[in-house]
Amino acid sequence: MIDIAWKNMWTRKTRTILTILGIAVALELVIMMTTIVDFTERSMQSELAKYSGAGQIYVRSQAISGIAGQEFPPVNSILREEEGRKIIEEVSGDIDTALTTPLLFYQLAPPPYPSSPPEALLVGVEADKIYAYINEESVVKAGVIAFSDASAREVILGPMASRFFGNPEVGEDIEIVGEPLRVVGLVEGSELEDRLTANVVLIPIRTAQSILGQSQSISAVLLTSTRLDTIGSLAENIRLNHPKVTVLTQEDIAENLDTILGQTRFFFNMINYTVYIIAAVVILIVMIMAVSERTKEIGTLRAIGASRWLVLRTILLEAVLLGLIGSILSIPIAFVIDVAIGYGLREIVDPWSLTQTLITVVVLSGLAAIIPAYRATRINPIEALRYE
Amino acid sequence: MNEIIRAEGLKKTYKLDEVEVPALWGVDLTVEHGDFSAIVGPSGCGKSTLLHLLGCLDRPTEGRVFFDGKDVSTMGDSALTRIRSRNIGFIFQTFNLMPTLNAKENVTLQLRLAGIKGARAVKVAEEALEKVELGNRMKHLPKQLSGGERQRVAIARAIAKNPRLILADEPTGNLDSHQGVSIGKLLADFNAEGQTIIMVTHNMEIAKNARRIITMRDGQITET
Repeated sequence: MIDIAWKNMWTRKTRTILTILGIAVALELVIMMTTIVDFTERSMQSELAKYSGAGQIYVRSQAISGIAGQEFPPVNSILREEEGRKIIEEVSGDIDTALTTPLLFYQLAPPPYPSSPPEALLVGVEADKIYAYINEESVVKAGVIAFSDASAREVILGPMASRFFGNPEVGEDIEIVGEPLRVVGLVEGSELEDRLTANVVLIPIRTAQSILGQSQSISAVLLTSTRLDTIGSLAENIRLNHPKVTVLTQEDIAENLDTILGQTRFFFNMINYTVYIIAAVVILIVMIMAVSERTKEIGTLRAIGASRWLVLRTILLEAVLLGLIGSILSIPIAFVIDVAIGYGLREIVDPWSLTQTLITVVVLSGLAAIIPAYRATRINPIEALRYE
Repeated sequence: MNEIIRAEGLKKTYKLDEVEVPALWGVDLTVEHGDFSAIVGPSGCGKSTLLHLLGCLDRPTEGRVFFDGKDVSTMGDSALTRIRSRNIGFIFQTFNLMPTLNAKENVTLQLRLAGIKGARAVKVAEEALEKVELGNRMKHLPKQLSGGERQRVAIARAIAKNPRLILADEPTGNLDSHQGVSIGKLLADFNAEGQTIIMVTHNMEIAKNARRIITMRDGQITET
């Protein structure tokens, strides 16, 4: 009966094309959402792997709410610089001072989607400690290992931030918060994989404080412990001596990233479920209309000897074909949109998750058509033969 | 035994809201192999209702219908569907062809429902269309054919599976007189070849093609 289903679709071209396009666009959205979740997860995992064994501790202001406490990097944290430096001094015996620095964060461009880091994040570090924040494995083009002085008007850009500023070359000036700064380095790495360094706009902390007008304040202190086995006690000591700060160890960061990931996944899954429901409703409406339009045809089919089961199969098959064609068509559409927005998501589309999505839509199409298909089987051939 | 179909004391009452409307008051009828019976009578006399009961499209309120000696009036939907698909060919006033299928596909569909599949179904469909002189219109969709040609496709669809019985419900009702005469003659030709036909019609000119005329009035057979 696939030929009858196919001919029904082919004959009603406008309706078929609109339905297929509707499904394709809906599914394309699901593919994009799923891909974003996948790449967020991968970048977070990659980030966590980099922290593993790095012995880092972040000290930030006390979180006002639970959600703020999960924020990482702690963009909305404010500490007095004096307190931050005091903490560094107190634990100086247990830390690698070359990889320890006060940090000042400032969001230059908003996150591209919820629960993601900002697209461009200003990070102020001590001029000679850029590798405290940028992982040593990241390569900085032009061989810069430190800013020229504590108040240098210089900047190092991560790949995503570089794109945000129009991909400047080393030596060019860019404007940040109305101030011209010279690009002295570009962090190499993947925009998708290096979650914390991709968006970085790294400048000396003094320069950051100056252009942001925050001379006495910092966002956090980044400490790197010399011994991995003493991180716990080190963090505990800081908590005891400074009850008004929040101390984040690697484990806390991992936990926070996991929570953020959970929230991101939940958010996008809700969108996906909604899109699935919309796709199913589209199929349901189209098939109800199709059955209603074809009352006479279905009645004739029944009269000349088509069983109820055959009528049911034909309607379901038509719905499944609509879902299948729409699903397959959504893949090139998703890629075209992806190329247009320039995220390179197609490089990380997981074939298995794509297959799962396609199967889900095809199955949903069949399920959505059950009611109209059942109604078709209940058409009385005698009534249908009178139907005009 | 030459009997193909027999109706005994057939009564049919439709329920419209709470009102019961009788359509057949008690009909007895036997049709034998090779018959060409025309059922005539005024509108609303129960002709089509009788045809639907004989065609296993409906069940009587009272009485019984025997098809090839088997009581079909109590059979379930699947069994009735099987009888319709294999043993009964239908011709309708409004042709009732599948609009998305061409002439050959319409005939082939009926053959597939009757259990004849693949190349054999295609060959039989082509032969049936040749018989109704539509050999050159096989690939045409119903909307590309005239009323007379559409009815010829419907006749080809009905005869292709070589059914035990053909039921024609006002087969010339939607045709002009010239095409009507042509269709009546075509049915008579098939009957001459041994095909059993029961035809409902208003048109006495068409009814004259039948060997037997059954007159109905007020839900009963008044003359046979």
